[in-house]
Amino acid sequence: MSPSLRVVVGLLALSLLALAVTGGPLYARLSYLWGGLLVVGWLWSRLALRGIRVHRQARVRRAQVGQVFDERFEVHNAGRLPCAWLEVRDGSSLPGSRGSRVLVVLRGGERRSYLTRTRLVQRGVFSLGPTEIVSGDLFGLFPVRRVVPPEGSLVVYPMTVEMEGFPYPSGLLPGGEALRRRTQQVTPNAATVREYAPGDPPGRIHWPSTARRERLMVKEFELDPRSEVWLFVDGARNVQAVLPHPPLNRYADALWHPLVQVELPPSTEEYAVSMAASLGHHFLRRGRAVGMVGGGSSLQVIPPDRGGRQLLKLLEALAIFRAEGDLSLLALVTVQARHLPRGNTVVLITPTVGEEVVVAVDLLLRRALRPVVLLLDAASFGGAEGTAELIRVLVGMGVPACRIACGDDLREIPGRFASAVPDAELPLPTRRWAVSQV
Amino acid sequence: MRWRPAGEGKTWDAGAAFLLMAALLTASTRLLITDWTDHLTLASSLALLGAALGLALGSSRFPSGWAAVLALAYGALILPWQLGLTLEQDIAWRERWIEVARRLASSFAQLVGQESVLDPLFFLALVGGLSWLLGVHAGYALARRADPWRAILPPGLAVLVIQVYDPISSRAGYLAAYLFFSLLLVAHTTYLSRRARWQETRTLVPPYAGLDLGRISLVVVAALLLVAWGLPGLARALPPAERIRDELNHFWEPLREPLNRAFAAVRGTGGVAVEAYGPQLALGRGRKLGETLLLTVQAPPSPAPGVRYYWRARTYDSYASGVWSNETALTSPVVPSLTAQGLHGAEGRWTATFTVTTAMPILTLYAPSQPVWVSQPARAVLAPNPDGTVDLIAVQADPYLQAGTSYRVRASLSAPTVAQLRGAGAEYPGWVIRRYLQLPPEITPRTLELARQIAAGQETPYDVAVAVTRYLRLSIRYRETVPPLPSGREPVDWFLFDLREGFCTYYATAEVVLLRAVGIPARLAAGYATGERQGDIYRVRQKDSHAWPEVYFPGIGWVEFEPTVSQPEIQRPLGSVEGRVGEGPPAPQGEEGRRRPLGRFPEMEEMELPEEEFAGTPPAARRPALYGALLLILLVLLPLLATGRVLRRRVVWHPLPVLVEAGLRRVGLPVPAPLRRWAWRAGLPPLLRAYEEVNRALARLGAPPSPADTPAERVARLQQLLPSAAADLQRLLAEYQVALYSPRPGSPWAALQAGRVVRSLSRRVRIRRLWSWGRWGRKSFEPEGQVGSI
Repeated sequence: MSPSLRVVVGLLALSLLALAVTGGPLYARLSYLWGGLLVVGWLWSRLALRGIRVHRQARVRRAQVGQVFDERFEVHNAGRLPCAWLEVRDGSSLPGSRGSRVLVVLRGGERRSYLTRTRLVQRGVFSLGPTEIVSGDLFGLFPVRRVVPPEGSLVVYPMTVEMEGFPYPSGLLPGGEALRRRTQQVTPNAATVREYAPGDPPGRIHWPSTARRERLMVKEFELDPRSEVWLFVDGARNVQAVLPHPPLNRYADALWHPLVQVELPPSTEEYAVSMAASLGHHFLRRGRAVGMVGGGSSLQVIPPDRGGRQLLKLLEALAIFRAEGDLSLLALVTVQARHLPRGNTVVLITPTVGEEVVVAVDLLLRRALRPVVLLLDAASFGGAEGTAELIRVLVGMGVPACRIACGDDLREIPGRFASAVPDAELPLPTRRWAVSQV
Repeated sequence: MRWRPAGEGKTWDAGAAFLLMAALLTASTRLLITDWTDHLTLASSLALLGAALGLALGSSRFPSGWAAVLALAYGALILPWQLGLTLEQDIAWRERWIEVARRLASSFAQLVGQESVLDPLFFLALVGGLSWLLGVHAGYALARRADPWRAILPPGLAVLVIQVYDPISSRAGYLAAYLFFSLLLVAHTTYLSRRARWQETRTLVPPYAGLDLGRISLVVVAALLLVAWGLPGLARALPPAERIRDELNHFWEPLREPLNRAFAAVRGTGGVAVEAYGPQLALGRGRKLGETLLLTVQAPPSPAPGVRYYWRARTYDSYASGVWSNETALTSPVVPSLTAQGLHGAEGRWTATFTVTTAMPILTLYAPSQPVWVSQPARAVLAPNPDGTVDLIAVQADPYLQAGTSYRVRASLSAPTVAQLRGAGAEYPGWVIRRYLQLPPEITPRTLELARQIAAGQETPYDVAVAVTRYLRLSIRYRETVPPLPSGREPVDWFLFDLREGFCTYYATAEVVLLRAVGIPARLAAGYATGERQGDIYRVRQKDSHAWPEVYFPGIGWVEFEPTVSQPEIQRPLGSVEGRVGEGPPAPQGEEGRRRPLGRFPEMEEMELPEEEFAGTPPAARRPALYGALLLILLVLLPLLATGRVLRRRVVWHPLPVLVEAGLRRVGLPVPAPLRRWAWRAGLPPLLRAYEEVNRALARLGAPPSPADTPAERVARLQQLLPSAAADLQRLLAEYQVALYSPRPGSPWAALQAGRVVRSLSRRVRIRRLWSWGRWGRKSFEPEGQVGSI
């Protein structure tokens, strides 16, 4: 019972008592007034939301941090009675969502719609709802509300930056021989032709063979001899660090810019995710096969592949990545490295400070893999010290390593590699190492 | 004590303050029109000043304890000042305050000594202090607690108490007006609290939402009040409630006397209905009546034999369904030269003068039997007769009389002997037969049969009247209250045959119906019975409220009978048939004009006053000019508010240069260019004014912007010329763009700050350039950094 309702009920009771005791017409009028107020307020509230329908539509259900998300709200008063005021509360978990509105004097049968534009500043999966509609009488006696369940969700991919010049090995496996492994991907290496089977894409039909044999023949491909790139994202909970930060960028709602460079939250997790997404985008754009291993709340392994679809897979995985895992970087590498072909590039993205990074790198080297380490400076995020020493050790091992501190521009990462360890000087694993690993 | 956090938002606005002030003004005006004493306007002043202070204290950071102390301190200054204003103006202020203190101390001593306080200043001080406290509390509750109910309930209770003690029904409209403003305040404050929450949650609100909801509230509240005030009253309370009411009255009695002593100087503190007998009189169910003194009447030393004093208020001629009324009742502003038709050539009547002192404010003038002259200006309620004469139904004072007022009334009382009454005959005038033999069709046959049985064997109408009176006195038991009338029953039938008990109105009604049933003209009179006699003084109390039948006798007029068994029987002298005309009971000593032929009453003409004086407004109603002005303003504002023509237009307070420019143009003088530019800039919104600093700085530094340049390009250009202002320029640009392109309003304060920095730095660079020109004769402009290195 709202405070106003308590007061009015009390006044009605007192008026009726005074009327019963004195019989005065004045108290009858007061009783009419308070009783009328209650009746009108109750009826008003009861009828206010009866015919109200709310529907929200989004043109896209996937977007990236920095983009503007458009959503359309439509409010329809399907009843005959007007609604004096209506509050639409957007219960979406999307940060900065602006769907909440107040509508005044919604006539019977009237439709109103409005467009909300939200600058996406945080990756993740966000429900588009619930939507709560609130109304009531003018005196706050009988507030009423109704909840409309969510209508779908929005996946926000992490922010990516250009990583032009990021170092990676020259691209051929040792010896440069073909892998002789079939693949569903279209690669420069066509291995043979076979008879067409239902489901084969028409683009793979080899027309000269088809003409010769007078039946449909399709090409089969082998894996590119160039090495694959594996992104290892350290999601161990105990090594992460984060600084307190305001929830939103001050000018994140400057919606006239189609895409703004949103500041990353000062969190090792967000930096790691954004770097992984940027590297995935970088390598895939260059035609490399990229896979990912994420040790977050659940172990995520995405086999290497090429193309735009693989990028979407990576971004979707990274959108929901949460650094809440119990698997350390060393354990992650130990488990996954045995499944990686020799010569592949492994990019370790980790805020871990300690010898286990060195041990993990050594393990990769011994398995003839080519590690690259992106070391997040945990101290700058409010975590443990020791990143600089670790960098020196790694560089001393001949492993490309780069230190990223809080507030650094991720676009400058490739330049730091160039200045630290020239690509030409990157060590190749020796046969002995590879053999010993095998 | 906890200081209020500085960041807490404002919980009221100008609209809420206006509604609160209007409500308080209505409440204080309700007190003012009671005219209980002079200088009651001080209540309005103190209530409004208190509310203003309460709003200020509520909005401040003072803890509640400090706010209370400050309110009391201000009150201790303002209340004596207002009380001092009530004294004569040519007295020095120091003397006034001493006088106020002395009189208040004296009044307090009288009160402690259980004496009557006769100084109205004591009442004024109490009323002023209460008004101040109510005003401060209302403002504080609204501003600090955002609780409109706390703000309006205490003054509303005060209005209700005033209405109870000044129960003129037409003034209940002030309570309605108070409720109107109060409910609007509740609705508006509810909207304000919702708006604050919407702002917190960044919910977009349409710009005129408050105005639209305000208009709807206006209509709803007005409709509610119209319905509540227009509906007929509920039925009378049930029997158990009567007991509660009586107990409450009993509980209240001991408190009444001390209060009456405290406010003895106040005019009309009583709580009796001024119109106890209105145009209609329902038989009702009766109630226990109190001991409240209503009238004190000084009568002639000894009344004529057979005369019973009834202090009559009104007579009724028509009866139907348990309700008495008058077939015709006109109100004449000027008392006509009354020719009491029934008194033409009347004998057996006695004329005397009475002095009536009221203990309560009254409207109806009470007079024994037929008044022929009153000392007060009055209006007559009368029924015209076909022959040009009139029947006087009631006499009402104009304006009403305050408590403690005395008036004199000369009246003609019936004092016939039994012989005169028996010999009066039954030759009634036509208008008497038409008006006073009316009976409703629902009168049951057994009632008519009973009338015939009683009248059987009676020789004269007087004998019939006596027989009916005796029958009622012997057969019906007196009781103050009766149970509810069974559905479908005729009240007189139910009273005579089933209930067989009741109070005076039932007795009188039954007698009138029975007499009319056998063709004897009769009517019902209502007022007060004789009361408590102390020598020549009669004290009439509420419990003396009474109704009785009057029977018409040709040549004599209306004669009272007393069927109510709780009242003593009327004993009339027997007289003789020969003495019927010109003889009667022995005349009391010292009375003038006894048993004179009445005919016309020249004295009544003395009551005639100039027409305009009657047509004018009573003094009490003329007082609240302030309230009238407020109502006028509201009448003008509210329709405009309803159509939204005022508030939809943004009220612009023009800055000084704009006003000066407009003034020069109006008188036809040329406006100097600098003033024109200044006025143009001053008229810009804050954000535009801040952005204009960019353009002015560019011009100042010799790079005036092209009209095609975007704000970003202008800022970029200025940033090259003024690198030290880069951060401020970016901030200004961001706020400008936010205001221009986003749904947010931007921060004018931040933009103006940045604009001021840009202006200052650009001026500094400009001065340095001028200085360098003078020194080196350089003519080219260079960016700030290079200039600094020269």
